[in-house]
Amino acid sequence: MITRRIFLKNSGLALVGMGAVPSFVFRTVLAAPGDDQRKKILITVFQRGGVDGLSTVVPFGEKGYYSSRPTIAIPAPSSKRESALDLNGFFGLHPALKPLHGLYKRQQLAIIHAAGSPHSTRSHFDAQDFMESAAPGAKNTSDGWLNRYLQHNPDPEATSFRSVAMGTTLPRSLKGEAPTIALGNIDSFDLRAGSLQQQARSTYETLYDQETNSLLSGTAQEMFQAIDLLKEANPAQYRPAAGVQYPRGRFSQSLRQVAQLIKADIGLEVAFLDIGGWDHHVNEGGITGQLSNRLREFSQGLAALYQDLGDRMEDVLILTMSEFGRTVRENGNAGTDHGHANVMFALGGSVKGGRIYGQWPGLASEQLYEGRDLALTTDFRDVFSEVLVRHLGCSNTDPIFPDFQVDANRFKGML
Amino acid sequence: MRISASGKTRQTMGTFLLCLLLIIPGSATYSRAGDESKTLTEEEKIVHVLNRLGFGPRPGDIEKVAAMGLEAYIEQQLQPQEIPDPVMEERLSSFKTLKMTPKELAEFYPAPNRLRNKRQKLQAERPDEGARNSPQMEGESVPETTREMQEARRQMRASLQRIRFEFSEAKIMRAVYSERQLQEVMSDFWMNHFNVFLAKGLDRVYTTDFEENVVRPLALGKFEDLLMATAKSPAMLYYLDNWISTAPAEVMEKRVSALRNRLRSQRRKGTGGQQAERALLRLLQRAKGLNENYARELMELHTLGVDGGYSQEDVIQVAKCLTGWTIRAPRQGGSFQFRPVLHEDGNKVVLGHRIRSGGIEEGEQVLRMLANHPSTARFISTKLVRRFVADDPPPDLVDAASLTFEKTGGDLREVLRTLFTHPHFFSPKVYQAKIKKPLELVASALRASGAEMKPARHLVRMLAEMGEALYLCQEPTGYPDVASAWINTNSLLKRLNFALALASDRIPQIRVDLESAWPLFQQLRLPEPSAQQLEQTRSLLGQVGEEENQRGDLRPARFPKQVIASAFMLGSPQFQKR
Repeated sequence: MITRRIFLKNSGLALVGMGAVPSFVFRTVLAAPGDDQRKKILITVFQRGGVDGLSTVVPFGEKGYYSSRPTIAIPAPSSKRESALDLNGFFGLHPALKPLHGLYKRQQLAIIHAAGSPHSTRSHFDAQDFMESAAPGAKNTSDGWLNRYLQHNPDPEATSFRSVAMGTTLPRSLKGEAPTIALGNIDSFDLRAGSLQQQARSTYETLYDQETNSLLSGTAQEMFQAIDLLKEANPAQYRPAAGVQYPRGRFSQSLRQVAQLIKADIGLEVAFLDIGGWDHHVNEGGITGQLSNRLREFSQGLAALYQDLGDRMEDVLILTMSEFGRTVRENGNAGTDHGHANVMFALGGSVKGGRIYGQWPGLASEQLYEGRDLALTTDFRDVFSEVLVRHLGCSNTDPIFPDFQVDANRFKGML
Repeated sequence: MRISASGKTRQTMGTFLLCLLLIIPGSATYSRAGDESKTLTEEEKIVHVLNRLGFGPRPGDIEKVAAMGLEAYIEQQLQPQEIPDPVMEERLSSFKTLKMTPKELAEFYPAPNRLRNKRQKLQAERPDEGARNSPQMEGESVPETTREMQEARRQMRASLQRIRFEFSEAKIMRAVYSERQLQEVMSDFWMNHFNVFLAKGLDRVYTTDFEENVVRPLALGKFEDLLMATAKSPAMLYYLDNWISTAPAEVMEKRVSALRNRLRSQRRKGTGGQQAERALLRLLQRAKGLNENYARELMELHTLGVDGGYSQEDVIQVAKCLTGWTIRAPRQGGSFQFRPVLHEDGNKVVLGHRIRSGGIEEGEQVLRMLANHPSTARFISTKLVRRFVADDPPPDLVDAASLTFEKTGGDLREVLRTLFTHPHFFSPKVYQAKIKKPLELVASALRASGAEMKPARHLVRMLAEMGEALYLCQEPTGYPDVASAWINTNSLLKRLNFALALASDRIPQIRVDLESAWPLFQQLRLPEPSAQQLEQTRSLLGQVGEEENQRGDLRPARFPKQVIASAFMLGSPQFQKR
């Protein structure tokens, strides 16, 4: 139930702070699940550190793959031993991605290979920056692509939970003028002031409302709205569906909380998560080892979310990305160094899955980028723009992609 | 009803309700940032220096600095070695791992594979005994060695935690209590600039040594010395993989076979020195080629900056110069070593300069060249101005700092002196213009509230929740120095909860002394609730029952006026700024 007090307080705040329409806050909360007005939801997952796309989606049909990687290559599909899981007779999934293999076969997972940023940088920092700002080479781009989507496609019914980043920091993708929530843990997102709760809340709210630094005052306003909305919607009441097991670890637990937010119908439209630990310069491993362990958590977490959300996946799209791929040749330390093009995943009920999109550039020496890396055939912005247009129904893409012409002819057709 | 010093009145229904419930800040005075005033008052200048050169004022500090004179205080902070700090030494004495060498840490906290090797060796030497010592427990299907490995892993995690917490607690302790405030600020600055990640493998035994013996002692010295020392520190060699970067695989194979032949002939002759040769052979077998990781970050993050004018080819050439820069017996916590046998010989070209083939001298020459490059002067100066002055570094200050950097050959003390004596350092525009990062917030709150702390794990966890897990920044960039990185809905909530917990003595091992802190809070012009408003809160508190008390939340019995007021002051937006 919504009390009159909270309702009024939020209306007042909205008027004071942002000039937004009063009473917008709880409309979506009130909408019953199953309502036709159900919004499309985008979950983006950033694999920080540069995942090795060639061990993730293995081009086992390429001779060059095996000659470049004497110790870490994933064997071609075979019933006799642990090996790649066949996708189409040329590509295979790393066996640690088994939970995603089923989704691929059910046409819920689309793979885009040889995709990424056309910029040549091999710096993690710059490459992540360029991808998250969707402006390769333009370092003075001050906001992230998802934030620009929110800014330029305003939703009069938006709640403060329209966009959420799971974690203690706000990622570059969501930085910018549109309000967005960073959420460490939905179960403890409140002031801890015991009997002083009410006073602490009011005092801080006033102090921050009067603050001239807009980063502090704006963030505080978003925070208090989020606290109220969480209290009302109480996402913690939604437990994972029967039989669904999220792995331990920050990434999967964040996914579990995203599922709770979705089930709580709290107005979520864009969620961001990241998962690190992909920068395997040393002892990357093949079938087993470091990369395999990371891929396992990655795929088990995503598959758990998929199962947990069940029918709601009709409205949800999960898009994965990483700043760059890794060298085709393994280095002297049974690892790989920073490379160029990479692989992206799109999962969801509306995805035309079970296919590998994009043109494969080949791994022969003369086909490699700068003689060492997988060449790029799909600009990540073609993928981003297809997702915004076809999934979120975005009609105003120009301001989101500076110096880039969005063109439906270059869409992969996965949506 | 007057609700704010800015005189704004709000007439919406919601705000009216708010007012009824509210303790309204009385005579709040707001940040002067953006004011048109021409200069700072003397007291503001002192607060500014205490906030920027250190982790904020303690009760009595403003008076102390006023008595000795601001210039004298700055000069003193620039010479940390001259500042006696006996109390600090005593406070740090309980941290056992702080004084341990990497060798000792490796000995006490061995890695699992070292245990496994030991066991295998034992079994090879005395198979019977090995078997006898590893009886299978009834119904236990896990072979003994696996169980042992699991136990070893568990122990390693525990040791990692122990080292990490002790080291983090010591960092907070120093930020709060050290008289050498500037040195601590600079040590923290360089630990982020030359970031290493304590949880990466052997860095758990090397990170302590890295800050204690490399970074802090050189924090105000010559940049070149600092750069060279980090390049030769096992912590950095390990973190950015240079310790395993070698000449190309083909070259190494030739060297291995030559060595193998020599070993064979020695064995026939029965001459000594074979053990060392065998160890070398094992090393060579593992060494298989170039690793670019350190060379790239060296130029991008440590010296020139990403736009400093280097190419991918320069990265490769620098990496080649640095082959053979490795760690002696790393699993035993050994030190830096240059091994000619792993080095890629031949001339190189770096940034257009020819580097003659010459072993360790190549890398040293490259590091000297990078340390004294104009791009480096600019890059380091920009970062320093960002840390000490403003998120968007004012160009005139960057110019002045770069000029001093170049003129003095990277003398960091001189660069800082240039900054701290520059008139624009005291510009009203930059006063209170920086948002504290979590470590700064926590340390300044403890200092301002006259806190007495024992090593506090809880505080380390709170810092992590605010986004600054000490020594655990995985990316080589280190933690950033700009507000937008630190302020979001999650971290702000954690900051407010920290203020509430601190003021009400709810953080284990920490007790505040608000009585003595009170005058300072007023000097800092933090928004202060009026007497009437406080009375209102206290009467509300009177209605709270024992249950609340039992839960260990805010305890009404311990709620004099200062506690309530302090909680709000320390959580106020004004206190988030420095």
